[in-house]
Amino acid sequence: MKVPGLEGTEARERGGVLAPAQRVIGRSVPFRGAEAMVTGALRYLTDLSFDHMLHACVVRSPVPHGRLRAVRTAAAQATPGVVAVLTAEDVPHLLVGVMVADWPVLVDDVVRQVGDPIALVAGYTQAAARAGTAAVGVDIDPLPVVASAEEALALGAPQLHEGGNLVAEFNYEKGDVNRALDSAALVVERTVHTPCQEHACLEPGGGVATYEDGIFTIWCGTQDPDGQRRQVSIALGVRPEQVRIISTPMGGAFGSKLDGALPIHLALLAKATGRPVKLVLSREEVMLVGAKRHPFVIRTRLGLDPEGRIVVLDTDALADTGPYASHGPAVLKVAAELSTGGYRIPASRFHGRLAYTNNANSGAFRGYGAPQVGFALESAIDAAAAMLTIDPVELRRRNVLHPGDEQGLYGHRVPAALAVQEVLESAAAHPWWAERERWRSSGRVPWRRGTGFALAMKGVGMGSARGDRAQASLVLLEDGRVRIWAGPNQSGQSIETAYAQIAAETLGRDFDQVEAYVGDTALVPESGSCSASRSTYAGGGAVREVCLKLLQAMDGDAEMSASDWSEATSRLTAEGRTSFEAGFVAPDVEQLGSFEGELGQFSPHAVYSSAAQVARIEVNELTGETRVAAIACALDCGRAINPAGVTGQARGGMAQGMGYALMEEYRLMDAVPQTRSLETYLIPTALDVPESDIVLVESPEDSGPFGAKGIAEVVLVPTAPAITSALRDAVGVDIDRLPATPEAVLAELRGRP
Amino acid sequence: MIVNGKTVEPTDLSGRLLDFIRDTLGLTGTKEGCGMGECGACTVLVDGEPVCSCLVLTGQVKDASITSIEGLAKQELHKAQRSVIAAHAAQCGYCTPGVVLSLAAMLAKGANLTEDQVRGVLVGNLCRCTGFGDIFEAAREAALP
Repeated sequence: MKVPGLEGTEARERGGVLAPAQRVIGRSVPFRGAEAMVTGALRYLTDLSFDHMLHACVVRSPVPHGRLRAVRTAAAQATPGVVAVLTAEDVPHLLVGVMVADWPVLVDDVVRQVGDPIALVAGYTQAAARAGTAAVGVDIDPLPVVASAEEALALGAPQLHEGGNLVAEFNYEKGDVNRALDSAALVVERTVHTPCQEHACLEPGGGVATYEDGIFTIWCGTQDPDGQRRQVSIALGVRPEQVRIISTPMGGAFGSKLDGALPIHLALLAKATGRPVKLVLSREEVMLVGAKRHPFVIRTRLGLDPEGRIVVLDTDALADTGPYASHGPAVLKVAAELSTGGYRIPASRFHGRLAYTNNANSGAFRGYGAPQVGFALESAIDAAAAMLTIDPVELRRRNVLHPGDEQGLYGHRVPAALAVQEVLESAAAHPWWAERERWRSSGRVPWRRGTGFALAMKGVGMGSARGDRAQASLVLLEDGRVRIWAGPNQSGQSIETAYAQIAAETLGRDFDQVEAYVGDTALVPESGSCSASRSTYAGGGAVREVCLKLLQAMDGDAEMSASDWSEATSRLTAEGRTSFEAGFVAPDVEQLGSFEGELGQFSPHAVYSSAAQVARIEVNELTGETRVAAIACALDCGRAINPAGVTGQARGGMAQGMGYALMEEYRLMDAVPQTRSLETYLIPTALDVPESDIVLVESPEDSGPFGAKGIAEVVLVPTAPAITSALRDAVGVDIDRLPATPEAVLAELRGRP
Repeated sequence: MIVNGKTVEPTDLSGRLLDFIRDTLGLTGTKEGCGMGECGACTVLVDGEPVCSCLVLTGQVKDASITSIEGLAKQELHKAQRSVIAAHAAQCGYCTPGVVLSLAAMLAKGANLTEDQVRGVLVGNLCRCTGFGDIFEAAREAALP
């Protein structure tokens, strides 16, 4: 990759030293690996091919709930070209799961969703594996299905697991909520429904595994290579050091590649056959069994005084996790924390329940509970603004959190770098908000126009008392170059570029003097998952720490001359001190509020990023069709390491948020999936996405590298409520169920007074 | 059939062009995202026109000239490729080969396109990472003289 001004003759003449004018932090250097992407040279893990490689397929349940009576494999074993057929009997340890071990690697007893894996078939060709799969006989006695969270918790509901259908329940109350509700001047009460959303990564899941000399090597895209390594070692009954996962590059992730049985299936097949085995899921398989965003039903009671100050918020949330817990309990916890959004609220309560059903399995998805409660709260605030005839921005302004305030639910002190107020003001000053009346009056029949506003904040990292750690290792090469291994890994955000920028700036060296590698459990020190808006923040923090260690050993700093660097390199090389490791630990909240001693249970964040968005829409009064013309996003990213990387991720998040608002819904009927392809599950295309304007509001976070915070998730949270707010502005409808499809909007329009 | 300037002979004329390109020729830059013509990750140029190679049988194009992503760059990167890099329009990169080939086909027509027309050029390429903003920027840059 050629970076203009950052390498080549000029840099060599300077001996690799970063000239002051060539600072790399805050510069949109091109992404590393981009040339391999545009030429097709980049080999994804589903592109790999090995000599003597077998191909595998999975036998899956056709029904959402049933007792597995028999799995007949003889015909499959006898199918020409089939090498191995594996069932639950071949799995040393059957149940896995990141939070609750409730997820069978292969079903031995009860199937709980359409697509549950029952057997694995490996063959010499994909066609042979498919034929073998078709030849496996499966006898299932259907059981009554649980098709919603409400049904799951009703008396007499079929129980999906021994412990019952209630996976988690979460209660927190600050202040006297009932009293505040009684005395509030206005209480807005509404119930919203948010949909099950599919990640729809462009690359379907898959990979290759080998088993040689007692070592499993698994090339499989995962956002949590060390976590998945533990799951493989548990399921296979082997030591963790016998498992190596190479986890990048990934063709999209967004939370979908944090858990699941895929690496375990690969390992089982490789061990059973003694040959490399490739397993790539079809789009339909990914859509059946891949993680989803939890659908929520949320009742909100928002109380205000006559001046529009929020005095109380009472949130009751019911979430459907599908048949297995996956990340559900943690998603519910994040939903609790962010139920109060970016606002000061003296009295608040969150009651949340998470239920097992036979619906699609929900897990982690960008935002992790925040988009659901964000829609509930922001749309309630809009309703309140309409009732009080206060401008929606002004209402938010009267309640927005300032640094040092108590966080809305937990009451801990929000940090100095919290910029939720700044992003609110920045978005409010944007021409698309300022000129909303002109936009409104420019609509022509049947298209009516409106402008909406929404605000959000989102924790960065894993939350207090969760021990959010990342590590990096560094080797100083003889020629003075630096090689770094760091995690979290690459899922499309070009994290290696950010790591190299952070290292180059810390060391005062040219960008091309730093190599950065991610995504291999054998090389990268354990650093947790690529999730929770933490990669640049925590992983980058570890990179900065290890670079500072090198400088300390050199007795130098970022201003070292080329000759000093060279001399120090020779000295450290001669002394054998060229290898360094360092870690980063995210801080816990400073003021514990009322839950001292229970940090681990509630895990509030000490660091938040924030975003405010203005959406301009037009809606067809005759058909209910909504077009999003433009979205402006004021975004606090701390400090932008690579501004183009930040704005690009923001645009992507907003497009996903737009899909969530208007078209994306993974639909099931009696727990049988109806949207099994990209033909029936719609995501925004080039024709749908709005014009966008990202305004970076940089509020540096002391604990982050060069002040950086993570932004991957917060950008998605305000988009849906901003769009429904614009629908309210345009045609006076109150959308309480996402997505606001043309049919739904039309129904609302017809129901208008 | 000519693929990237070389004459090749598919033995199985009833197989998908996508599988011939990926499995037989080993050109894995062409991606499979859905297998039913919805996502555009498997786009190749058939006589200059962008086509989903998952929807075409080799027999249908046995006399055609096909360009996969590996065949686009000559001495240096194609303008569409350079623009995608410069505009940071590739994030995970999985849709990128298809996007680049759609842009290359657009440029080959010498079209001076409006923004709406650019959106039309890209309507067959789903991207889940970028929200298309930087891809539109790449298209604008690539279309500059």
